[in-house]
Amino acid sequence: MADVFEEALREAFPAPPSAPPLRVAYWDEMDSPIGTLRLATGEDGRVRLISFWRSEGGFVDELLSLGSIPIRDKRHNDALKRQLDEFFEGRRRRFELDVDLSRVAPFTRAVLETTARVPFGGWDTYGGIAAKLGVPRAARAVGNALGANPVPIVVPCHRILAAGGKIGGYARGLSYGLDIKRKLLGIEGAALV
Amino acid sequence: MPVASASRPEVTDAPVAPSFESLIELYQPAVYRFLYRLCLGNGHDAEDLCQETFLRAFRAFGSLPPDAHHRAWLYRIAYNLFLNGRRRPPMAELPEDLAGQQHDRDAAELVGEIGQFVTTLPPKQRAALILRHVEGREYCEIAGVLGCSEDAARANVFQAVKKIRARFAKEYADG
Repeated sequence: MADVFEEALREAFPAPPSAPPLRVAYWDEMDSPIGTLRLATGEDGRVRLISFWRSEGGFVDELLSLGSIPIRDKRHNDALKRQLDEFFEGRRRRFELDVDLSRVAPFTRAVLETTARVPFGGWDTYGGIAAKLGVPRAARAVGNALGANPVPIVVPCHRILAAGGKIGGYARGLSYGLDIKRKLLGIEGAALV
Repeated sequence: MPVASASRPEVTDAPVAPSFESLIELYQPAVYRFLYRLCLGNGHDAEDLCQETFLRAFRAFGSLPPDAHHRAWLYRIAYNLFLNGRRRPPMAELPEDLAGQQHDRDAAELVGEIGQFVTTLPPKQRAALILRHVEGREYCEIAGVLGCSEDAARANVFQAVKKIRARFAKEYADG
């Protein structure tokens, strides 16, 4: 092909200015009073996933299903690990972290944002959250939404109880989920019914 | 008899598999560039496809031979996603005014028209042409990307060039 066409072709398909960053999740593990926690922070510095019940493979699969490329890395989770340690030691009442809720459904996000406003040591109910969202009959839907919380503890879904202050559910019905919920509430000194 | 030092690492010819993170660092810009060109400059589609390329690659990375040609492998995933993607623009129709020969065409117009003409080529020829004449890849790598023989890769490039020559015969003669 003559040079004029080679040049025209290269001009017709110019290189883009730069490649945008990939959606990556840097993940790591830490020991805690509720067992091994697996944590992931995105390339944008936002906390993307926390789990105490997924296996390593399950955690990586969950990151992939969230559209993130999992990279094992310690540095990117330093702030999250430090604040969680402080929380477990009762020295932190509030997390100063950005969380990534971009991959959860709109109703779930609304539930989680409302839940995030329940203070340390306090609690609300599924029905109470539903009422705050203007859908007082949606207590069960609130429970389901909390089950889809990608960042438990930081978004404190353990502070949401059943009607009358009964313990309710936790961790998608995991057998030891309620023990963990009680332990977290105990760390906060929450006054349960 | 000399004895090898115990602290000296054993030297072997076995290829060392890179980490997935290093693949991202090495090849993400090139994969994005390739997709950007395939998507005719649609950065949003190219970004989505690039993300999906590396997600797929991550899942398959464990079973990849350590001596694999990583760039060609990633390009192939990207190309297949591009082919299968529903969001890519449909094959462009050739505008009427391109069918006839225009004698007073300036360089910028020619560039635009060649670019537009390439969008009318079958995807395999378009990809082959970009890989060979825009990115300067070797035919063996192009074959790896397109999932065909080296001869077939040459044939795809040849057909694409032939069509461009036929369409722009006048400019080709002038050039």
